[in-house]
Amino acid sequence: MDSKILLAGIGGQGVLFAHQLLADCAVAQGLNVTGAETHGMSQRGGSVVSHLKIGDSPAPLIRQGTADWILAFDASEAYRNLSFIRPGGTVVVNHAPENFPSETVSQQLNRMNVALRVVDADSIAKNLGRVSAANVALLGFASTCAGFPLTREALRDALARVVRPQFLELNYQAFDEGALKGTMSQLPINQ
Amino acid sequence: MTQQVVLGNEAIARGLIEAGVNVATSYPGTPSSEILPAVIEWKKKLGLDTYVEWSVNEKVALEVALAASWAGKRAMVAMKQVGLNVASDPLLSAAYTGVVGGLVVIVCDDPGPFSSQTEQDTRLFAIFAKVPVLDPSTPREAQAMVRYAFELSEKFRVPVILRPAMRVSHARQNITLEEIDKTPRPAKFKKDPARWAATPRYRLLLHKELNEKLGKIEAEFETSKLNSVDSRQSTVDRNKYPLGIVASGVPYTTACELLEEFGVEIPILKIGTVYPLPRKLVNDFVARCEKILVLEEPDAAIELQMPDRRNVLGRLDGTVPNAGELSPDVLHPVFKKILTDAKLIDASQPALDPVWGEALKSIPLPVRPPRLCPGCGHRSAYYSIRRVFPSAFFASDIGCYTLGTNLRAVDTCLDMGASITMATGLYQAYKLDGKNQSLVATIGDSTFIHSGITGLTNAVHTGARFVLVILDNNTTAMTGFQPTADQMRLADGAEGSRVAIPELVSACGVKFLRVSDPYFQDDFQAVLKDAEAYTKSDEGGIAVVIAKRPCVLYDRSPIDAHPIKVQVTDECDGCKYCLVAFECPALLMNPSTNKVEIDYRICVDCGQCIDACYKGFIVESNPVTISELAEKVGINQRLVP
Repeated sequence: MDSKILLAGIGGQGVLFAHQLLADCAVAQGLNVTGAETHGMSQRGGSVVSHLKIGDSPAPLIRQGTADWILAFDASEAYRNLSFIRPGGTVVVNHAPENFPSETVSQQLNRMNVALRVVDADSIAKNLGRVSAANVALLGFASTCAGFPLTREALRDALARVVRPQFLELNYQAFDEGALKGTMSQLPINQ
Repeated sequence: MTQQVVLGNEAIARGLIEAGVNVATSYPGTPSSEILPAVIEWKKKLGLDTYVEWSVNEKVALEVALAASWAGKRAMVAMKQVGLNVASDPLLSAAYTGVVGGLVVIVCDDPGPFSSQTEQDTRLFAIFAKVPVLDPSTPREAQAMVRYAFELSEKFRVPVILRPAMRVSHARQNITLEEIDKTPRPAKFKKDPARWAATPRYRLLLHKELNEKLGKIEAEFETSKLNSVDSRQSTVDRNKYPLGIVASGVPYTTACELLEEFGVEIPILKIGTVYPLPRKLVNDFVARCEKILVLEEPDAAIELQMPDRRNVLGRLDGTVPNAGELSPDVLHPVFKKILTDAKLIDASQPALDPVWGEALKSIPLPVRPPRLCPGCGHRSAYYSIRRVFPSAFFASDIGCYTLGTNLRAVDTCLDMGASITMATGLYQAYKLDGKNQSLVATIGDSTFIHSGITGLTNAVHTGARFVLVILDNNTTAMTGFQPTADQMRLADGAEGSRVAIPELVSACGVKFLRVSDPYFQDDFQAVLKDAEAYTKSDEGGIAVVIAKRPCVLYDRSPIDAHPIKVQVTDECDGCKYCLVAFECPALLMNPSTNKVEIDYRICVDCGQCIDACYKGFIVESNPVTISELAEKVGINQRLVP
């Protein structure tokens, strides 16, 4: 099934790495990918958005209101890009769950039947002693969300291909911790 | 069949390697900068003997590649679209002389623009230069087009331009790695003065020859598989279609996707060979449609070549916005209107929920404009320049340091090298009125070598007076740390000869030259004052100060050797002077305490902001000892020729 995934964050959070990991994972499963990245002047300390389409569309950009997924590595960048989500899509945000989202946005997401999944990936990464692993923790969390186009196992395999060996164990830990948070949050007791 | 997910520019590089390119030259510039490094990566991986260089500018790059082609090698030169302005002189002449080995000129356009001073269309440039141009829609297509471009170039002995737009260069897609051409192409320059050194009389013959070549190339393009009518039209049986689309580049892919979204089946003619336009193919297509929508970026190269535009909708008649990128968000309303007008859709299709705008507007979002990095030496230089020259005009240039606008230390930015010539012109304008206006020009190291030397020679020769600060950070930082001629390191890591900037400055006739580290702000400001005094003295002229401090992203070793942890004292009165005048991303205002705070997540411990609080409320957390201080002062080596 074709998927349109929008990744949003701030320069330095590893948005492009997350994009590459997802793309590599999809291609390993025999799928085609096309996407767009932010480079150059707009990259210096600014908002970073990348568009990823899994499937046969050769057009790199996602139109507003048509993204199946938004993976936001920062809450303000999630707000900035929320208009990309389609009705019935899923938004995954790296933030403290109790503080996201604002009241008005929450109502709108409900009206559009958008699933919102919030995880404090920064804390996961901090506990592992490497703040920069938050992106991988968020991907682990996302992999447990209903309908995510890439499986947990396939993403772990992609990590093994893309990450340098000395950092692989740490990335596995971050990924698994994110995935665990995702599974836990879906247990009946939490609903 | 090995699949690999690559950036568009890496797909182009792979295409170059597959075509067996022998000589590859480039000057970095977004969105083209990743092409040469990817060629180098393949060269190393496969053990190829490809010659690669980061040339000092695009004109040089094109000429080096062209001469290699005359010797029979396959050559490529890559640049951004405004780089072609610099390389236009050899390009136009090379169209007449022709080539021997294939010569592919890769020019990346920047519809938007995102990282450029213009949205110029290289395809229009190609028409002007009478050089064939191919317009890929995707990285995959760009990879294949490179191989075809070499064949075309060799078959008709003309340079060929490949024009990827930014959304091709910086798209990421999976490609298939194809076979590599390993045909040997020995260097064999054959003397032919009537061609390679043609006088005007022969130039007329070469012009006629070029026109003949273009006619033959157009004929080849009429049946080229790079131009195709989308098969979906065959599912609808009609004599005449209410609407047809002619599209090239990225807008072609967007158009396909939008038609699918709207569920409309109309024919699309995809054009991959924009010039010479296969006019018969286009005319036949136009004749079969009542209206034609033309979609292309960034300007109207196809539309302008269409002989009959009576039924054509596009950039020229305003149906499509006449500036900016044709993103799906821009094209969606255009499609909706045209498809409705052509009665192909019912306009009652639901729009994007408009409540979003209001819901999101209520949330205050941090603005994230591009800024100089924490610890950037340019910031320290600009801060000192502002202190020493409160009423000067600041002529600046192209690079990271254009962001000095944030520190109000950049008043002009025109094109590569123009800081020096703008300062010259401003000086002469004020001199006519008998005024000696304070002027400071700032230019980066790579930009100075690219286009500053001629302007400086001119300024010295004509007696202009201003202070020129060369912001030397040891690299071409903005585009990804390519080496400049001032370094020993060559493009592929091999050792070259250093052409030192101070020697170049002296050779331009400059009599006042100082090298100073802007991190040592008191010393640096004293040097700036001396420089200004020189420009105003009887025997004075142009004073050059080389502000030498390595890019903090490229080489952090000087900071790591002497990190200076800073803190803001409780006395901070929230005056915001440091935020405005120093403008470091690591300085933040805490609105609840009304005090400035340090964002230690991004602070690099450069200690430069200590000078940015004139009240002394930003201090070093652990002051250094006397001996450490002596060591620090010791590394501030001045070079006085």
